[in-house]
Amino acid sequence: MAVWLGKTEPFKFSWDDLVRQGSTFWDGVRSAQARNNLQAMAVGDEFLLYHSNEGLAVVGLARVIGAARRDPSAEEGDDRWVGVDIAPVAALPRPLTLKEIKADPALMGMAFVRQGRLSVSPVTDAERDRILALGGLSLPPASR
Amino acid sequence: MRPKPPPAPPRSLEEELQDAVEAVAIGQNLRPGLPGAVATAARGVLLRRGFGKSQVNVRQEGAGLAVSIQLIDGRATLVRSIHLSVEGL
Repeated sequence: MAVWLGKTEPFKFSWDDLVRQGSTFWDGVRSAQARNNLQAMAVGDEFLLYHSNEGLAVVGLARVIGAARRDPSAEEGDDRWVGVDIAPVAALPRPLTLKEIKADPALMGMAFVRQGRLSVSPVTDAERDRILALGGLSLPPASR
Repeated sequence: MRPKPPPAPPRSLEEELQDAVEAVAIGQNLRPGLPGAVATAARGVLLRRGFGKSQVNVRQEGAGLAVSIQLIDGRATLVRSIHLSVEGL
């Protein structure tokens, strides 16, 4: 099982929207590297949701429930872009801010910190466990 | 012979924009890419109408989307502001 982090602007689509709807198709990605990360996702992978632009915090943990398929929001005939289906698992009782992430030696090297414009990025098991611990979410560790 | 129907009256820019964004959004669940798709549809109308420079912002508003469009002239001056809303997603 892999772990990923996806960024969303909450005034367009938020964690609360995901919870309210029960699942969503994570689309709208228009960066080749982020698209490659979406294509690498498998059903069962974990997906940390980060609020960008407003909030600037990891707010919840979701799970990939549908593998990559064509993004219908792309222009007709443009088959380069894909999305995945995700469903919420649990909100972080304490959202973990970007400031805290950058200040934490175990998290400051995260891909999404190093590549600030990357909207979908991989997360290591150790980073996932650290985020959930700091965010107050008790789940079995991913790192073995 | 039946007479030709009269030509449809020209639609205003606002009407055309509203139709374009509703065609993309109505009946859809909100998802991360939907605001971007709505903005793209609005930009398509603006380009067809000859508005080369514009800013289109889409935000969630209640159970729908609020679309804010600023038309900008060659001297970067705001010449027109249009606000639309799409409900019933």
